[in-house]
Amino acid sequence: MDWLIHHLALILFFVLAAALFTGFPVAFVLGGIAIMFGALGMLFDVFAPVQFFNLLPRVWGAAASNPILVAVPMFIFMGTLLERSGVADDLLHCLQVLLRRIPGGLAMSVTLMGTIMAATTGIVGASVVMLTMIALPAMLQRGYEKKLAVGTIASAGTLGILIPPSIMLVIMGDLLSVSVGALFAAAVFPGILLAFLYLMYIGTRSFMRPDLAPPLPADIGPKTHAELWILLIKSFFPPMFLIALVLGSIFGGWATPTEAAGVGSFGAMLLAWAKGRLNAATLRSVIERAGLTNAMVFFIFFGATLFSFVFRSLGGDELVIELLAKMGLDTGWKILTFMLILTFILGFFFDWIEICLIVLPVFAPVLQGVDFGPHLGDGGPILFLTWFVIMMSVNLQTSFLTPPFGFTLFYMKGIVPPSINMMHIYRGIIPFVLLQLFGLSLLIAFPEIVLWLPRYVGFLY
Amino acid sequence: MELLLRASNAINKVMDKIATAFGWLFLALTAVIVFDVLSRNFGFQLPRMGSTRLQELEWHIHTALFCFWLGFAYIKNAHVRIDVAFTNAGPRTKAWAELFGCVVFALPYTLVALYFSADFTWISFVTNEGSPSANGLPWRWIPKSFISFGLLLLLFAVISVMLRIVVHLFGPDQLRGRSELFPSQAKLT
Repeated sequence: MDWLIHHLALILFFVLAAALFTGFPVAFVLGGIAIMFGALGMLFDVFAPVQFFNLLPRVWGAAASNPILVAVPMFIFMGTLLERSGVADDLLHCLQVLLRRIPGGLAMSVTLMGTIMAATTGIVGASVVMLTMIALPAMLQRGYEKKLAVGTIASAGTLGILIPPSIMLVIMGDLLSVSVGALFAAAVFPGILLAFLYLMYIGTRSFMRPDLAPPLPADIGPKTHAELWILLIKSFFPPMFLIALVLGSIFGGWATPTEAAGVGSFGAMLLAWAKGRLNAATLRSVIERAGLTNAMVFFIFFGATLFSFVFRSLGGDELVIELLAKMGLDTGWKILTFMLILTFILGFFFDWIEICLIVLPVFAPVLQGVDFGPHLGDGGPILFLTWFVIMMSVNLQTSFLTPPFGFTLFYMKGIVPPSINMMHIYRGIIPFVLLQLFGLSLLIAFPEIVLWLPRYVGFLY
Repeated sequence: MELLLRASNAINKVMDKIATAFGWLFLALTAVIVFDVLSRNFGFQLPRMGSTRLQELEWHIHTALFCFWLGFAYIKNAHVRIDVAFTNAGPRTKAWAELFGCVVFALPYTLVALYFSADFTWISFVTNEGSPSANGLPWRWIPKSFISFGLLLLLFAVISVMLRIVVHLFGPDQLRGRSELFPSQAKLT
């Protein structure tokens, strides 16, 4: 019995895992189980009844009166609005024209568009759905190999969670007390690196097997140079304008991420207006989609805050440290490996929101104490945390693409035409998963890829 | 049974209205942020509306924005699920699983959270709590009450879904067709 009470926090975790698989909304399960174990702890005298009065102040502090998180609804709104504004379609068309003579040009356009548009949204589901709807029909019509088409889209879509402005980075920064600006800066080169790896792969593969990626007819697009320039400006200007507005103001140091998000929303409205898409009907549907996504994110925040409060009150923090010590995980490298494997496995089943909000608070005390020493240079734990968050993001991206339960794959399956089955999707993403693992190992071996830019713009020292 | 279904439909309709109305806060939030950024960089301010107040106003709006959508998001089935166990189950099994979840997780959670949230708001109201910062906004109980109202709406949403489940599981056949748990899901995609 004593053992049970001492390990109540651990049992809490296993009950949560089991309960999540009932398929009931995660946010409800988190909160419900927190309340249940609070009551149970009260029964065993390890959870004071008065602590129930601390539940709401916790939620208030974590989710409501938190100026950093105001960036989240704004980025969601911006991303949703942009998706409806037709900016993405224009960009894809233009990229196709530009890359029409290069082997695998269409697939490369998709990767490039995923990279550019990723910088404007930040939800895996949204990016993947958008790319699949815009790009998949075009690729299939051109006679692309199904596996290549699907793999390209899935990998480009998941880049969105890494490349700033990313909602995930806002939330991770908030949970681990790292500046969001630093994380945004840190994610730029890893994002570009991954995109570059994808492009190299697509190019090489299409060059060796041109039948997999038939080129576009040479006569698409404008005939004269002048027209080409107009097309170029018309389709590149809007996304570049927005990226410059949002990232520029953050890196330039004259706006917080929250302010940049608000200004970005305004910019997205201007773009939609310029394209003649800003009417009441569009706005209403954008608001509905953004409102639902926002409520979904923050309801998980709500439940997860209660959950981690009860977990802590039941002695969870000490238990985690004790367990890690028992498993012999005492050095930075071992803890890092453990975290990456853990989140990789969790990523089969959960979206990043649950993983960040459930796992990070639990391990935050351990992570904040990790000293990586010479590998990262002088600068204290903040360097490790920044580096860690980026590796965790790349790691999560990979796990979203990994069968049998990769999150992205399910989003895709819902919208692909019947001619594409789950096997095409599974086999299509394998090369991209390998590329991501390669990218991840580069980041581990050369932390400067992550840390150089935040140092350069002055967020880290 | 017919009555239960109509009650659920009425709740859903009101929920839709409230959420849609508060959804325009996305625009309000954008406007407040843009105004704050501009006014700070150009060095002017409205009387009694300095940057501290504007920034507090921002997260007040943010709180309203997510709280008033919590219930609506459940009705629209927008809350994430780990749908592994019952993906291929029939509609009746799914309805039973949902009922189980409502009774075991959603109802106790919502009720307990609502109770403590009401208490939290009430204390703020009777102590006339304001911003800890000297030039911040007064009346902290207003944003705190958003959470209470949000949870109340959520409670209604849970009740609405449960009503539908009851009609679906125990109601006559002719009502079953009209009692899908999360109506007009098609609108979502």
